[in-house]
Amino acid sequence: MKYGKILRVDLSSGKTRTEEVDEKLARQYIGGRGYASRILYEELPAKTDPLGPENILIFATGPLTGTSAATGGRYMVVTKGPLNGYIASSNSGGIWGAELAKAGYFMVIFTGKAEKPSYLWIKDDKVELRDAAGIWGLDTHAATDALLDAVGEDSAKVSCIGPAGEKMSKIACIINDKHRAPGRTGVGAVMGSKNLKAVVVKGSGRVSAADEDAFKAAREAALKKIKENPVTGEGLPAYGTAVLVNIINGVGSYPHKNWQFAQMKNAEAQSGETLAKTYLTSKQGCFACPIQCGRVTSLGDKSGEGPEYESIWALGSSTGVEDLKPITEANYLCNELGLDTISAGSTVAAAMELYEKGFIQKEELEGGPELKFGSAEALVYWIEKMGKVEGFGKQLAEGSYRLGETYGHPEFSMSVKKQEMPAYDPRGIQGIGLNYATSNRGGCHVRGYTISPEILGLPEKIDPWEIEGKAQWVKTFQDLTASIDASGMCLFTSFALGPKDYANLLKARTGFDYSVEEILADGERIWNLERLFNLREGLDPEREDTLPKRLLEEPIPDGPAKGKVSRLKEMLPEYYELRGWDTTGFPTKEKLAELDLEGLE
Amino acid sequence: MATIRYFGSIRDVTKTMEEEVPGGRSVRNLLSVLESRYGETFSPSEKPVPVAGRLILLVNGRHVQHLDGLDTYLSDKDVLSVFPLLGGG
Repeated sequence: MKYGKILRVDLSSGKTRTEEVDEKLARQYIGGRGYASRILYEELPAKTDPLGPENILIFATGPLTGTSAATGGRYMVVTKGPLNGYIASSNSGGIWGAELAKAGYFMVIFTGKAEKPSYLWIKDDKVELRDAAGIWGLDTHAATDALLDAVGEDSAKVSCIGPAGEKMSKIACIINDKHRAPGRTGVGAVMGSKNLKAVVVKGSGRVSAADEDAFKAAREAALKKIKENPVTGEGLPAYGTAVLVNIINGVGSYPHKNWQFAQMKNAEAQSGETLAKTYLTSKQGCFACPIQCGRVTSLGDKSGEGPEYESIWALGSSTGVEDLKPITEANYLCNELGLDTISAGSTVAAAMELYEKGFIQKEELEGGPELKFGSAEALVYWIEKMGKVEGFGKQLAEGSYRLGETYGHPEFSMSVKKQEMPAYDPRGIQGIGLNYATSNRGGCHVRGYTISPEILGLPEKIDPWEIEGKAQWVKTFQDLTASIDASGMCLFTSFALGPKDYANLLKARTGFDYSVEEILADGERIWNLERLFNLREGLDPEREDTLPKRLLEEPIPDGPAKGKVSRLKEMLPEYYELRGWDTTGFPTKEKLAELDLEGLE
Repeated sequence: MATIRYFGSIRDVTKTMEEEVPGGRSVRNLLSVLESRYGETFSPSEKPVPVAGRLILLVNGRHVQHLDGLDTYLSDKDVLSVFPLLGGG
């Protein structure tokens, strides 16, 4: 068996069935993000309500998930997203994905809506939709413990939502293994809309390779590169992702106070170096991961994982809060209540600007702390209210775009396609702005992480202030990333590995003769299919392939990149051309034919 | 005086986060001084591993590659930031 089975669960009737993977599609879309997007495109009628029972929710592994390939434990959640109505596609680590693969499944496809709160229990070939009474309402940690008790298997793995997802916050995430998240695009709300609290899985099988000897060789070659690379072998294990705080602040592209500034005075206080000296207790790796970037932390009375770089920035610099303690506390709350840390922190930051500029009134806060930049008390209080979707927290739980719109000022939402942008200011790092503007899931860094060449010098150093050549870098990174996401490996491996390494692993695992060219073409196919999905849902490229006005018109007021704005409009036409799209951002018939996507336009 | 700031694992070598040195010299010259003080981590030599393959060097927040490379001149009041190669996201 080359691939695991596809498990279909109709939540409305409670019926389940399995089917075989279409191997032609599996080869073309690799798996995970790719194959799941293809299914979503084919099976979801246009204009479906993302929070209605007709939406389709897919948990998908890749062919390398559950294998011994380094970091081979990733899975994707793909659905139509409630935040912007476009493709939602979120990747997660931990162990859950590998467990699903070992139970014999390539993916699980949910349709319909359960009559009452339920969870799915998968134990190898036994699949049961169970009543979640007594579990619905619990936070993700308590729910995970209760579910493990309920199934009577301590070693089972849980992917679940918290109160934010149950109450359909549009920035709700899913949490697996208590600390890992398909975090972005509001996928947790879709689970909540289906009355699906959790998917609990126990797998006892083994994911085998078509050519075990070749797989072993490819696996060992990749592992060696990852261990010997200074980033994946030393930097990430030692300091985690938060090692970025000082350098991104150093180059003057660390957004501060809802992006009004691009540098904060005391970033050291929230850096990876400071985290290592204060609250860090140990490091943690996901399934089969030699990198171990996860941070296990303790605040004394409470412990958990994180905060990661993005979370520190969103909950900290963006809200003006310097101290790691409240940032860590807010991060724990996001994990427990099931909120996307980037969107949650950014929404508090937008609320602070709206409050300080007089658009949100004190009376609306119902006695809660004033939304002032730098207030640790406000941060922790409002994150909790947001996660519980209570009081003024209901408005926050809608995300920054809808919050701003309510007050007639959506321009204070620092988002692209209604999704809050991550922790790099594109005024000082031009390429990442083009990536944000064109990311199929809205503001996002992990669709095409040009920070690698623009700031970190990997695989080579390019000038972050220049625009020449950036369109090509963005396209290449976007395509390769799509393939890595589809494979079941972690994007962080790309600091050490190249397309040839992924091709070797996939070839040995599946038996298909994957080449470097095919891996990149498959990524391009996935990218274009996601674009087609969004266009079918009504995406208007002219209006939406863009950045917030602040980044296009307000020069950075301070720091090394002072005076710069994003030059997105100069890069976008070249990007469309390189993509084989017309000047209005629609894929041409020729490009679709080249990618075997004819008939889908 | 120019300021040097150290980050990440570089601090394990220097045992300090920041220090001041007289300005009026190139980054290359300063790296040589730091090499004699702290060892090969700071070597300005491109062999066996190029400097860009070991260190990220910013002068006043700008990567030296986009200035004059290791010949970038450090005046008094300039800040040199020294990072190891790093990544995240």
